[in-house]
Amino acid sequence: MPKDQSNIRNFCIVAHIDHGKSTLADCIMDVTQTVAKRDAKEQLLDSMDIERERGITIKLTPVTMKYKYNGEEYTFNLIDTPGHVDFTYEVSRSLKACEGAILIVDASQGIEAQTLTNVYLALDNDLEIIPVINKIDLPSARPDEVKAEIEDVIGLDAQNAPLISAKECIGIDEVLKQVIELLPPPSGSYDAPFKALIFDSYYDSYKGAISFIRVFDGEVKAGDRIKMCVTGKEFEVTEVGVFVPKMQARDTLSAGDVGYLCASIKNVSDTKVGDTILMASDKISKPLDGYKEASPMVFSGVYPADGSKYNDLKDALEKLKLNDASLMYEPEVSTALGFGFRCGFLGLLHMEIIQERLEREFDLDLVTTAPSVSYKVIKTNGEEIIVSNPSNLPPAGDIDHMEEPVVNAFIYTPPEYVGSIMELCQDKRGEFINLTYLDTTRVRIDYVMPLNEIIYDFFDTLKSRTRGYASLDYEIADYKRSDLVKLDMLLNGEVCDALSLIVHKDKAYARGRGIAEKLKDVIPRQLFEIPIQAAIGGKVIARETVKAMRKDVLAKCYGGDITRKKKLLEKQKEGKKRMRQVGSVEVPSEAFMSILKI
Amino acid sequence: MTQIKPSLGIYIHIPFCKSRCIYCDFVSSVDDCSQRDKYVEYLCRQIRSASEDFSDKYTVDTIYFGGGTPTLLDDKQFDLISKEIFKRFHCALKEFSVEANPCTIDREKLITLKNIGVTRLSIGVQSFNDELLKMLGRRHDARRAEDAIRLAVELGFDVSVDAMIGLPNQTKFDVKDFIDRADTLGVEHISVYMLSVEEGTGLKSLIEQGKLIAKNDDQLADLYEYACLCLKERNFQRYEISNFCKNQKVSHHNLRYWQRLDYLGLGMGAHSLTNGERWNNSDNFKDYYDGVDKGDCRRNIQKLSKEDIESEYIMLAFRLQKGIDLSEFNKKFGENFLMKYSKAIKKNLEFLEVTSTSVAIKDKYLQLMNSIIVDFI
Repeated sequence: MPKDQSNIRNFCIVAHIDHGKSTLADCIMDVTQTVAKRDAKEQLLDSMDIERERGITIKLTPVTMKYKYNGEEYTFNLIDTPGHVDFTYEVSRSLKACEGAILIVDASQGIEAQTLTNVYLALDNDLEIIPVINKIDLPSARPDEVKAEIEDVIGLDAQNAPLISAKECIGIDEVLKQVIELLPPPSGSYDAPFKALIFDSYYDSYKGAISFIRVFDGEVKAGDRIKMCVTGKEFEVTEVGVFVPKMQARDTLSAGDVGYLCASIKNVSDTKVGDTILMASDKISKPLDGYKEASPMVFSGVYPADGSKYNDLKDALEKLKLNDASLMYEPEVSTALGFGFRCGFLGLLHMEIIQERLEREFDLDLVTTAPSVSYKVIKTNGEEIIVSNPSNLPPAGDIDHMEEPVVNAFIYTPPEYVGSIMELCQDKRGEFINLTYLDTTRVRIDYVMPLNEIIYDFFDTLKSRTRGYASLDYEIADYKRSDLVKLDMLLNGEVCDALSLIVHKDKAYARGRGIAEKLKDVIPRQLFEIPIQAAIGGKVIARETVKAMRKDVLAKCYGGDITRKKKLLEKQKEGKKRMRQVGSVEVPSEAFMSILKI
Repeated sequence: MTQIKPSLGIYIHIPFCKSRCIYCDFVSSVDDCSQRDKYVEYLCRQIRSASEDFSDKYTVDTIYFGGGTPTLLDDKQFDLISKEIFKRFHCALKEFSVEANPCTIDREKLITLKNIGVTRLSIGVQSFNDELLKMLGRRHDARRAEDAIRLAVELGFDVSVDAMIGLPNQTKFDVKDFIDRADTLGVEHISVYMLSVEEGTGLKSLIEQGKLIAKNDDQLADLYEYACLCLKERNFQRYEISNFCKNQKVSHHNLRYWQRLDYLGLGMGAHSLTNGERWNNSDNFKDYYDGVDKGDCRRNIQKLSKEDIESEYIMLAFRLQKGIDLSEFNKKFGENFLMKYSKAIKKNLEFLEVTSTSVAIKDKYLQLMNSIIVDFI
């Protein structure tokens, strides 16, 4: 059978949260009779529970569909993309697997902040973009104005943008018609040596690590010996196939195809997102450019709430790691929390997702410490070390100076919020770089900012100060010398290692005070008075007191009914078991979590 | 010579009230007298059938009528129940207590009780402040309560009164006034309870609606400590966390609970401890009657293990001023308390009175009892 890429279209959907990305994807699957809409478990592409609940996409699930148009059969490969700054790199790899993108804009809300970052990413990857106006069935729809906005703000011709309702499946054929007519087909060569991009991976307990690939040149089939360019490791292909949306084996995948590849790969870290696959024998072809090693940005201690569950946590992390190469962890011991792990994450959302998955999928109760970044410590003897756990900081006398990671932050916003955003960035120790008017309605502000300021509440604050309009993108820039100190929290005179933080000197006082106040609320009164102190070095900078308990008794004992008392005491005993002992003080697990957002 | 049998306390539950007090979540029903004859009949039937299991194993030495409001029963009903007990069980009483409401007793009633053999009255006074009494939904006022106490003392009953500490709007003056007046009237036993606001009570909803302001833990503790001080000044001894008496007039029946001596609860919802088993009767009329008809109304039967018994023993003994008797503990459990619990004792040393014969919670820390006990159980 002669092969022809002219009837293949590889595309993704770009949208602001809630503008209907997943709904449109479901609708396209329905129209192409890939999955009947009534069978789609709501939004089928977002396969993890957490994604569905949060309405965000984390794991990318591609789907291959067939569609007849003008008597010809077309193959569509729809690749969904994550929509969060933590996963910008993953988005860029998905976009690289496509030739085009559908840009959805809400007919009543118009263009919103988040849309832009991904549109620019798509343009950077030379994708053809089809604007689509969604939710035209709403009474508040204003399609003409929104079309004008698309032209003004992004500079795309929106005159022929399809007016659709993804919810009601109105206008979908017009979208698919434009996909065929406006998006270019793939342009690789069948004859060239096999070359494919890994844009995601997934661990299956039977098949091993499965690579999600876009083939650019050549062809691959079971039995081929391949190599991963980054790791140099070689594997024998056991199966190739496509997603319909379940995995369906095929004899071959060739130039232009999107599908999966299994090769008895034991570990997802051997199939790295962004890596290129070539034939093992191919000594000439160059890998695709743009590969970046996923590196953790945010670190936190993760401990089982019940110390005896350490091994369960270990097993759970091992299993998650199979599926998520970007998760890093290593054992760590805390005086307060016992045995646990220091974990590294791509960002705060990634951290929350991993923690949530550990709790839900593995039924674990966790205690996590405040997120930290990794600091560079230059010691007086010239030695340089990286510290991501504040407890591992050398004594102050041994430190010559410290450096912290900074990022280039790009904030897109309507002009009216510029003042408020600059104030926020200044407050977060940002260094102003540039301000550009993209047009009359949109400004880009560039800052160099310490990463440790971004990982706390920067994103949330940015959103709330701009009514959700501003969007943030950032890239790690460098390490920068900074006046950092270790902030310790003392409970009844003893340092609680799990509560220690590395902070900028100017922020230490406010932070210490805030944490002390919070701890005062969450540590229950005990038989003795508990001083809570925040200290830098030996110097106490804030103090609160948990007063001694005055009453803890159930005195009434009616007609010899002691069962209620027994139950109460047993409950109290259970609660006590869940407490962490810091010196003489019993600290509830929640206390460690409660300071995360201060 | 007959063998000495172990002693037993009998508790009789009378689940009727004229009205419900706003802090109460006990088993009781506000009724119009129509149920009472039937209830007394079933109660007597339960006494009869229980006696078949227990009468030859025990000698009854305390009887306690609790409620509800036992004094709502008429003379005949009282007589029926008491006679049934005396007839069916071997009794050598050192105490026969009845809980009484100031509104439901008069000279005639008390003379009847006296004739039946009642030795002690526990009068639910709660407060001598009329405004507080009204707020609580009590039907009596201070004058009525004082009259009732005076009468009971005059007729030769041992009199105990209940005091509630920590009511919204209650002051130190109220507390001192209560103790002074009770002492002056000749009361020799006072049970002092710290108010606890229970779910589903009228008090709880009034607080939630903001109509009453609950005292916080510190205020409650302050007021309770003040009550203890006033009682001490009036020469009342604290023999249990909430019970104070003069002249050794302890409540023998209630002491059974703390000493883990057997007691048999008869009537709806009553609790029992016999032969290392705890259980309670059904706590609604229908199930209770059905149970009596079928010859068994026991619910939630728990066979206690040795560990259960030991932790109950510790939990209950720590309520007592004298605490845990080391030789008794050793005799009962075959272990040295100080050795076995050395860790918990060490941790709580500041709060304990440790002597060569006993371990007790220091008087001023009794209010922190739960936090200390959890280290022992």
